[in-house]
Amino acid sequence: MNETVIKVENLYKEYRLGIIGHGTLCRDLQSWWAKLRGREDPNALITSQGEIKKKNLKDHILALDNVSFQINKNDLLGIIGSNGAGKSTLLKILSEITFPTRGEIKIKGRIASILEVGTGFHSDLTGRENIYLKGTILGMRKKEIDRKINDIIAFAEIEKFIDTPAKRYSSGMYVRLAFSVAAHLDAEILLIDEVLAVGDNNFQKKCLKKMEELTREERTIIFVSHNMNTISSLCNKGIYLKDGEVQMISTPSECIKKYINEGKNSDRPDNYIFSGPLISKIHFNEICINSREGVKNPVIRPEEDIKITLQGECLEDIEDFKFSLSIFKDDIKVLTMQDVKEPQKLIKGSFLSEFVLGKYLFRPGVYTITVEGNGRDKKAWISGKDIESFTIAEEYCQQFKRENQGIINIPDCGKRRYI
Amino acid sequence: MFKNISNTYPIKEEWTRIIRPPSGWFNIDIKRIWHYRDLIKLFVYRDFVIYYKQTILGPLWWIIQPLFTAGLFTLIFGKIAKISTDGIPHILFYMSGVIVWNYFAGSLLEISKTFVKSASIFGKVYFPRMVIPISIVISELLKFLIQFFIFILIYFIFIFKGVPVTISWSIIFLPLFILQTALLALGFGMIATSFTTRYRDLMLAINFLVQLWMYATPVVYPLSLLPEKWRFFSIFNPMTSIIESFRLSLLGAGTVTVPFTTLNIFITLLILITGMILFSRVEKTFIDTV
Repeated sequence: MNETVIKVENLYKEYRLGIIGHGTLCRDLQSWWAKLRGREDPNALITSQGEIKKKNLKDHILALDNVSFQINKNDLLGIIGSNGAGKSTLLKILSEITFPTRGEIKIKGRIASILEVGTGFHSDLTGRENIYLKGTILGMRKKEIDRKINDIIAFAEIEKFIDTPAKRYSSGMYVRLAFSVAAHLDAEILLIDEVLAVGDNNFQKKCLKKMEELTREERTIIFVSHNMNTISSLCNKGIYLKDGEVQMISTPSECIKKYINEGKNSDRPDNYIFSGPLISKIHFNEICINSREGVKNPVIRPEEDIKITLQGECLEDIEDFKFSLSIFKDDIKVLTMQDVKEPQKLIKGSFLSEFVLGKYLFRPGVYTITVEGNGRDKKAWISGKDIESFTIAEEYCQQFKRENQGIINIPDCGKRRYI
Repeated sequence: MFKNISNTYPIKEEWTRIIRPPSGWFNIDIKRIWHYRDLIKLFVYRDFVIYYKQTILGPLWWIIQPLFTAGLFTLIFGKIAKISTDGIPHILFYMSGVIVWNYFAGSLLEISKTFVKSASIFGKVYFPRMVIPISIVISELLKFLIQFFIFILIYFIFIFKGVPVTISWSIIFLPLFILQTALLALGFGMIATSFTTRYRDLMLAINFLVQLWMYATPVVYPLSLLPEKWRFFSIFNPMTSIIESFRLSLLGAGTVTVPFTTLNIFITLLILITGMILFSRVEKTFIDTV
């Protein structure tokens, strides 16, 4: 049964901008005097009728603006949005670190949050002592920790260092311990904010697996991350926040698509960001994937060929030059291609380099493109990292079977004979 | 009263927790603080461990400091200024005042820094904020007990030497006086931290006020020395009643009356409740203003 465990209703959070000084005291007294007489607070942004006062808008900001949503039991909700969209504010209100200005949240069950790695750790205490400290801070009783401490230590893989003061720990060990404590909590709802970025690859995988396991154990997880791949592979529900407003509540991939497309229109400058000595000589006009101009992160269906074109102006002849284009997934280099077989002169004027990749080659996910150019001279180079990206859609077809996992998809390459 | 963030059960839907904007003037969830009692223990333990790690003398400072202060007071106020001590041996008189006062002032000053010092942890994780002041009062209590033990040692030395010190029957109330000190420090500390969070310079004012306060309290002089017309004001200083009672109980000399003590217990509770109300208001908004 899909039971609602968190219900957020018309949530607002306002912050006052600017510094706290003697002026603050003056306003505090003003607000206090108004409250004492039962009048409206002259310094509040939202009136009790829910209207926003324009006058106070310049020194106040709405971090959350009428946010409402529901989460069911066993959901793994991913929250995406650019910096300042209100993701962390939302988690902070959910974990009662700060309170909403208006609106309410109803919760069924215990909430535990891992909003930052080192929270509650004291560097002079040993790992074991820190487990107790962190666990109790998160609301566990000592008895509970006694029962679970061995699991916690084993999961964090720090058996050897458990009686060493935490100040000698590496940052990776900190995260592992922190995640491990939180993951062993009996809380029904877990809030996780971008903590996994610190651990190494293996541990990240282990955490993601653990999170999936937890949802199977009747837990609900709310997860904030900038790693779209993690969100799309892990979560079953997504929320896209922008400037404190909910833009979309849908599947994670839909939310990611909208987020990435909107990002293109708002903050992408005309010039791609390249570095290197050759930036004065080479100017890119367009880097285009499958002729979809102006679309950031185009979604490509598996049965489409992938054609990437680099079009630009060369202001001066460059000897022995070639472009290389690399495709990355999750920061792993998948492949590199060259636009010419042997380096050759890049002639002054416009150029167009084309790269074509066959259909059904990549498994679904987000891929980023890095472009590099090299001349004969060692000092003649240009490079642009992660300048474009594309998404391979998750679609089922004969040559694109779900069980062919990984990055590369090679259809029908196996054979069975009976001898 | 407790409706705000505590367990509420609306008629149809069963929610374990409802988060709403802070309202009302008294919403302290005692049940939740009780749930976090293990955390209080661990904070006390942490304060202790950290005190002796990477130090030469560690907790010995707790003994050295009151001994030296009492010695210094004996020299200045006893031998040079020749202030009366109601016939009590100087070192015992001053030390009894110093350890009780230190317990109060130490807790008060430490609690007054609660929000500023713990801002980073408060910004990341929720637990009832009152856990911190409570754990401070307990840490300081342990420190006080160690000092008290040393005091008792010196006390017995004097008894063996045949110095006449008399114990009053009020000694049975001694733990209550200590509890009163703790509650008073908790109350004043929470009032102080509620203000210093927003206006940092008040911290300096508090340090200064506590120093002045010591001289307004009979730590270096007995209350009996105070002229009658000034003694009226000391009624409103609960520390006066505590220190005088402490001395009366153990050393047999102090100016204590039952109405005086009762009034002061009442004042202490009033301050404690004021502190708790202010603290619970600040704990909900401070993270946005700190």
